[in-house]
Amino acid sequence: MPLANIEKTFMDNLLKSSVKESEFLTQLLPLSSLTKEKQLSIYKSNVNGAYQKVLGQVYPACLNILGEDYFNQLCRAYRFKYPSTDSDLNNYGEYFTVFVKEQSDLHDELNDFEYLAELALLEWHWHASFYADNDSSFAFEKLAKVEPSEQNILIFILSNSFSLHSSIYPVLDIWKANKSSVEGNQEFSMPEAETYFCISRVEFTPKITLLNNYQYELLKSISNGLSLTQLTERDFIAAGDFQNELTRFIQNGWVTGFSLLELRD
Amino acid sequence: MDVFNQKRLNDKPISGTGIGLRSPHVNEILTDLPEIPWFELLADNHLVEGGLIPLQLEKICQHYPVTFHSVGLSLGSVDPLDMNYLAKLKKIMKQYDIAWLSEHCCFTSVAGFHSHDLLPLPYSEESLSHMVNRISQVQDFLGEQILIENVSSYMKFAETTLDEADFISELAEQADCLLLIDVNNIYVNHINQGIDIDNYLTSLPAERIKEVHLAGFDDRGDFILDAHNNPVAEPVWKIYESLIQQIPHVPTLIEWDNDIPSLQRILDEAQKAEVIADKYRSGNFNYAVS
Ligand SMILES: [Fe+2]
Repeated sequence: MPLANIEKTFMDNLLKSSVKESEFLTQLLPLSSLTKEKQLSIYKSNVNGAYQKVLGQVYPACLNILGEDYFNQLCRAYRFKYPSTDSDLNNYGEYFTVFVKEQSDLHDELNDFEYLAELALLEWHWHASFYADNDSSFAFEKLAKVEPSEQNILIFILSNSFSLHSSIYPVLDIWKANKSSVEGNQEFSMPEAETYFCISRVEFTPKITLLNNYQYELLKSISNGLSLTQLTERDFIAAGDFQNELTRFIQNGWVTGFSLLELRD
Repeated sequence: MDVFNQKRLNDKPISGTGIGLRSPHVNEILTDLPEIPWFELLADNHLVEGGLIPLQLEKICQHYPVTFHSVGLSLGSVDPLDMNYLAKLKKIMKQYDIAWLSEHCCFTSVAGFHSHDLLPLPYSEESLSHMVNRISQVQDFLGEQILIENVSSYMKFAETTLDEADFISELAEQADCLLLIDVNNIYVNHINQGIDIDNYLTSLPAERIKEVHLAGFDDRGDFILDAHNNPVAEPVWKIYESLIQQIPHVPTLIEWDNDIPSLQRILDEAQKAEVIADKYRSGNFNYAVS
């Protein structure tokens, strides 16, 4: 069998769920202590172990809450549904948040964990924030030179390490109690209102900051790419302290720059 | 090409027994700056350009000679080389004056999918010419020789026609690359595959060996796994001594990646290697954390 086929069938056996081993096994010879099936199973187990390890590191609270057995089952299923397509193992868990949501819709045993997808999202962004590219510092001088007529094409840029979150569940409490403890507290009271928060990296460490409704909506509008004119024209934004909040966002390193969009014909 | 590499090797004295730098020890090392001759870093963990990682890399490189060990080049893969990855490697190696790059004689990805595990190749003429071609491409791009490491393998391919040692030696010759010989991997393949250790060691082109790896394995009953989670085993020390007496000035590295112990425990292993190598050369290195 040509090398290309050997590699392809080998990898298929490691990363696809419905592959018959027989085609690849014809390429192997038994060893005195390892049958052909055992030889392949060592690699399956190695790959699975590496994936489980990295997902456990990125999603420690999910692992803690679901328990090792169930979490590992999810990891196995995730490996087949979203096999790694990136040489950087740090990126491997990116779709686990989507996967958890899909699984929650499919499996009744996850009904008790309605918050799981949001918790996973928090954990992913916490991880991604640590590895995010550095930002350039805000160009205040350039901003001062923007003409009033250009405000309708001015959009703000958020930090590479920034993510915005909202939840009706006490995800922050659940995360804090479970991210490093094996016996986290599983009793949490539901918050009276939706919680808003953001994750960003301060110097080298990811940080969570609670937000009020106004800050959340303003940051959401910025992340949706609304222009400065559009922002100031929105009734609810105009009703708040837009200038001060924007200054605070820049000081916190959440808003790191701006760009002037090309006007479309 | 050899002349160019020799210059780099002289610029950054990678000598004696170094250790693989792992994240639990980074703060301790940057705070105490213990006397350790050199570090090997997993290149794949240092390709990020933001946050703490590049800063740590810069600081480590300010105080210690550093080599890069990568797992993502997938040299044996039939996919095109990941030029993006290679360009990042080249940039960072140049930026921090990394002494050299080593990679494995294996593939890790194919058809765009990544196993993140070192998958063996059949030792055939086809694999040989493919690997020679790939290594040449990498060396041409980097402008320097790379080191190729023998891997642990738990598979016997029907397509294999060459002994592992012959494959590696032929590869080094044809690609004009250097070698990193992992002694634990030789032992693992001896136990699992029955390879002949004496024959292996005598087949290797000693003049191309620029680095030696030592690590611990995990005994799984019907086979042993190259898990890097234990001290170096006694029989591995014996093979090491047989190898290092032929090449006593070639630097050695201790790899310990799982169930990582204290820094001092790893340095104890390094000291042990140094004592063995020193029997065959003059000059010793004293390991002390503080
Ligand atoms: Fe090694």
